[in-house]
Amino acid sequence: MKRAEKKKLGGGYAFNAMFGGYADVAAYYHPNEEDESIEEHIAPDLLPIYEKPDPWNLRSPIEKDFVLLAEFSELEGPRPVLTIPYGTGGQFDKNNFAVKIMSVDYHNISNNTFTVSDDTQVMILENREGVYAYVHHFTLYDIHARGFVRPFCMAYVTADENKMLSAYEDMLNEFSKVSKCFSYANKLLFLKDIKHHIKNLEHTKECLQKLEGEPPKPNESDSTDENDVLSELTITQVESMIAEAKHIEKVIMPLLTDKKMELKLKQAEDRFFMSRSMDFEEEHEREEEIVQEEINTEEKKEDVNCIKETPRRKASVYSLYSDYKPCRLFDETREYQPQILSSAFFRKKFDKLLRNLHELCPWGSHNALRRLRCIQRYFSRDLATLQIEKEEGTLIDPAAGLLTIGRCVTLNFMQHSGRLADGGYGMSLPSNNLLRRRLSEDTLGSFNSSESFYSIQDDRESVHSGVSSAAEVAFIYANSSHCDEHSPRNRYSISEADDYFVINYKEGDVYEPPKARERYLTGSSAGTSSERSFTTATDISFGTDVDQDLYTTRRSFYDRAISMDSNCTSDDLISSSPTDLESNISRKVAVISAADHIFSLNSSSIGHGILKVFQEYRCSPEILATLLTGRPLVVLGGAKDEKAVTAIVTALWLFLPGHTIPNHAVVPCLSKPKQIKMVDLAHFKLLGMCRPERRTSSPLVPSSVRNYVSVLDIERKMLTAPAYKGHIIKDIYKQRKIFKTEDTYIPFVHCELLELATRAFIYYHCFCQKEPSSFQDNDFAHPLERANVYNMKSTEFCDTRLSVHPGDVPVIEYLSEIVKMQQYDEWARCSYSDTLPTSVKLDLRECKVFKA
Amino acid sequence: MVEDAQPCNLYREVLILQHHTDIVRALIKVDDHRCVSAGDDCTAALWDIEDGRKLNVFSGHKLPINCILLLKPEPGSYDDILLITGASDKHIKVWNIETGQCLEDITEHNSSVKCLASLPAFDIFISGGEKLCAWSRKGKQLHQVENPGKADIQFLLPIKENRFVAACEESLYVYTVEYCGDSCEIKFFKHLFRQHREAIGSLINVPDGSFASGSLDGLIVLWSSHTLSAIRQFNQIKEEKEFRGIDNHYPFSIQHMISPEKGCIFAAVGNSIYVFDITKDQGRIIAKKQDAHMSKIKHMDFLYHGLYLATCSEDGAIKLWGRAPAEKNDKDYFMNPLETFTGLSSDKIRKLKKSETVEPCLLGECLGHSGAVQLFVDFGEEGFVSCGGDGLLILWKDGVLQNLKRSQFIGEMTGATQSSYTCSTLTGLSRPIFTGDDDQATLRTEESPSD
Repeated sequence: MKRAEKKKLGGGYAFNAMFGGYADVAAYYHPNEEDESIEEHIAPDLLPIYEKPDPWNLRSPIEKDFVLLAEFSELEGPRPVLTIPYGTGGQFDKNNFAVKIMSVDYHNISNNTFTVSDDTQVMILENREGVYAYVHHFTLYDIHARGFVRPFCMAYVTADENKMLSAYEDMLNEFSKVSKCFSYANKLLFLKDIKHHIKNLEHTKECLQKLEGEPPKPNESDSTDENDVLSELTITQVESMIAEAKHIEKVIMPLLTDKKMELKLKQAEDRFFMSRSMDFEEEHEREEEIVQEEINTEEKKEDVNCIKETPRRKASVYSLYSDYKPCRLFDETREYQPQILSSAFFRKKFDKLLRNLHELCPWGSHNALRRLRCIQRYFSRDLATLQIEKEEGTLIDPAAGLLTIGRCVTLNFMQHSGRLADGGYGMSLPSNNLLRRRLSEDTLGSFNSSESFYSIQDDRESVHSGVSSAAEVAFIYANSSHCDEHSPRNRYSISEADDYFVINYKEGDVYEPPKARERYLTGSSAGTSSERSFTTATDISFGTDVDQDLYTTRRSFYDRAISMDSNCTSDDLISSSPTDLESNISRKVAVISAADHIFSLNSSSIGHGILKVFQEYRCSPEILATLLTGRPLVVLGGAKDEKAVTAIVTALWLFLPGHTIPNHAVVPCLSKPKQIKMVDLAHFKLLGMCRPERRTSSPLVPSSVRNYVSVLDIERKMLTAPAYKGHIIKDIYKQRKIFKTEDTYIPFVHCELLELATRAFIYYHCFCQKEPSSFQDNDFAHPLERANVYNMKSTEFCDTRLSVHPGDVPVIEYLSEIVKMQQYDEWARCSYSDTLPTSVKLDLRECKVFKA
Repeated sequence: MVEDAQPCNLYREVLILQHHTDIVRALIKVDDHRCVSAGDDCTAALWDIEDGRKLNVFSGHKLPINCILLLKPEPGSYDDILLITGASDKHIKVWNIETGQCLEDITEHNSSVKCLASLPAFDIFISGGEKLCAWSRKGKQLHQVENPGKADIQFLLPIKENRFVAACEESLYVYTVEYCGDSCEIKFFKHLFRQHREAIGSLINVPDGSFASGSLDGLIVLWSSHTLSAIRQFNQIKEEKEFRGIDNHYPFSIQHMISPEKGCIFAAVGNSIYVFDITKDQGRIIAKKQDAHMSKIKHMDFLYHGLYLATCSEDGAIKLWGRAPAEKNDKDYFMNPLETFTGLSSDKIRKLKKSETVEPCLLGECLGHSGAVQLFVDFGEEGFVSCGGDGLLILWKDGVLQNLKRSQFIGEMTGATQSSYTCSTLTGLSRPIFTGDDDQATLRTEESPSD
């Protein structure tokens, strides 16, 4: 009872709806020694707002889109459970809103027999207040609840009406997935409860039958609950209850067929109990720790019950882990000991606190909430961004044909070819997989413990992650204003096989490069072991089995283009070649859409500070030309220039084509650099370095590689690079004067780069793919002659067909070469299931020294 | 267009083959697309040089591998090629190159194995070190003889069917092999008259039935394989002080020689390249490049069907040499490496005055190794593989050809190009430049105007 009251205090603002009588109200105001400091524990936004909105200056009460999870509580009626992100919608009356959305429609409880209800979706267009919402109702089942149902709903609340209309389909898809997460786990639990309940009932029935046989013993002292119950029940009553429960079991059973989901939940459970059983003695302390860990790493102190809570109650929010006996969904070992039906169950008193969301959906709720966070982050962006990103999402497949510049999706060379050639076989719609690019990283990390996130050798990998064969590409967030909500490791961080090569492009990390980064440039001495891991484990792989369509077939890209229609599902793949999955190699790499990049420009975005760099270096066209022709660029600074070097690398990244990580890596700054070796040329394209304070005899850029890289020395303001004689890059450089700010200039750059990419596209399809046939004839006795003729033809093609100046030909050639390389690599990976050494283009053009 | 620093250098793409963790000392070509490398990290590796894949690793030795040898199966048999490795750990191991399996581990050598040679006529191989041993293909010891020299045998060179020369310091010993049925016997035949004053650094066969030895003091001696007598001597430096140089640097030391055709020897003399005309008594120098490298040249060979003469050196560079790019008459075809190298026909070379030497032109510089480049192996169209002190194998590729291959490959994959030719037709696109075949030469001249 005490707890129930506290709960009420927690939901105190709802008292108008639910407070029963004077006693309750009095209890609320009565100063309780435990609750003295209650005000301190209330998030300010949860306190009721008494201000009336100004009718003359009506603005939408919603500053930022948020997700509201509400339930129809038996005790309190409709009430908000949590908001995502935590504490948003401060000006918005969530209680009222919860009442509104929960009252929309819930008549499917009225059936006499138990049925499983489908989710329902409603759009609320609250014009008066300028609030629009997508509302997704779903039902969880609870053995203790009235009619066994616990109605819940999720609402995406926004002020943008258009977004609501245009994204309805996508929201429906995404929220359905969340609902599935919740309800699958819930159904498993419910089924288990029902089974136990049936056993209880049968046991009760037996007892009753026994009692009936025995003569009644009226005045015996034990007036226990058991006897109470037994005295009030008749066998027929119990029998009808058994029939009802069995009916429910029959209804629920066939719905639980998703083995993959079950496996995932089981893994989560096992992991938890495994870590728990490590030290049984200190169980409670450990649990406490685990809970803390969970809160810190995963929950980020957000959500769950944003209802006011006393400290003790707060700790038991995660009662799933602590004082609530951890529920074992999958433990079949212990036989359930049937008990006589408790009176609490029999006589529904409705004063008992029902289970919370985590308890209702053991192991599933975390994943669902994480998905909700992703959904919120995804949809809360600008509508135009959403739409462009959705369109660009189609460009990602096939990954081998994707050209990115500065991490932004620019063009897919293969997709359009499919469309052009065959009227559309190469098309792949993002379908119901909208969030996959965003979810991928989060869900994988979320579901598994954070420690093993990078480790590709982790066992879970082989169990259930169908790693795609293709160079799998994923969008990530460019918007680091959400940084705090992310687990930090996800942000712009690309990890290669443990720690061999880590690029962390997260603010804060940049200035203190991890040791791994320093190890990177050890060249040959890095030895074979690291090399090995480098090539096999090129990136984080997907582990989300919810995103079924993630799994692509293990075929080469051209096969895939053709088989797009037949749409192989992951299940086929897994069942057909489970052993292959282990050896399969993924190269999933995070790319962003240009729209997202522009939308979320900030000081840590790629390209930030580019105008400053341009202003500072007159030789900028040469710098850009270096990057766009695939020549590695080393930005060299003094011992204390780390910040400056990092800033320049960040800015210049905007112009770096390519996204296959081992080949187009960016290393913001190495503070303790080693000499660059030939091996490194295969891996990085843009590298920041600081000269060590104590000068060493060996130069950082030794003679063995000096011919092949450009060096921008910011200390001496000098650039060593081939001269640039083309026009395109000069134009990009000159136009900067028209644009005063980067917010406007960077979109312009994106346009120009797209223009460049389209030319490379034509070159790729009309020259590269046609030209080899003319070199078939053996009329080149001399290989040099062949090279000369080829170069001549290439230049001529660019000149006549693309009106590209000869000076820009290397750029066009390189952009198309990237795609060719990707395709070749992919093919090689598919045929050898091993990564080939990356070929390094040796740029033998003559270098000049430019003064900045 | 932007100026190209090395317009004649076709090697514009590299693949870096990482496996070895120490100096790679041995590199040997298996067939047109594979090679084996071995080094101080006690392992050997088999590589596909088309795409740089590591096919097999042969590990088992406990000390650095000094020498490797391939035993090709008898013609007509389907046996796999065998790889023999000899190491400082006194073991000789026989491997199946396809499976990577170690077939035999021979321990009877009992001393560090310095060199290996095969005598295909008898289907045996011999190993040199402190002693000389003969082994059957299966690794059975057939015979063993003591080495008359004081030091280990460094080189073994089969010169005739049943004869081979062993070089030990400055001495040369000739042995004969007598093989009947199961027994095989190595017999000491002759100690070649002492000519060299310092250790021998190179021992090669010369196409016209002779062999040549070159030593630290700069002397090259041409020997007859039949009479086993010295025919000629070149590059004799009389004064000991002169050939020793400052700090015993031996500025004229012969590290490597090749004789691509009759009548000439290309020699790495110190830091320089010398081409000797061996048909004349005096040993006229046809071509010479003084101080071609910063330090001593370790190895030299022709690349790309003779398009380049390449030299590699302790300074970490591989340099490509040839004649200066001609202005107009680029359509001349030369019949042999020497002609291509000098840009002169054999007649003209013969008529060169004694004082006239051709100076080869530097066509390109392949920089990449961060230590000494030990040696390299040519694969023609497929490029070449070099290995060095940094433990890397670098596979140098013709950039334009690779580009074309990829384009063609992608074209086939996507079905954009309708023609049915395959990658292999492109690989075989250009035939060797020197063929003695007259028909082809005329064919070429017929085609050439169409350009």
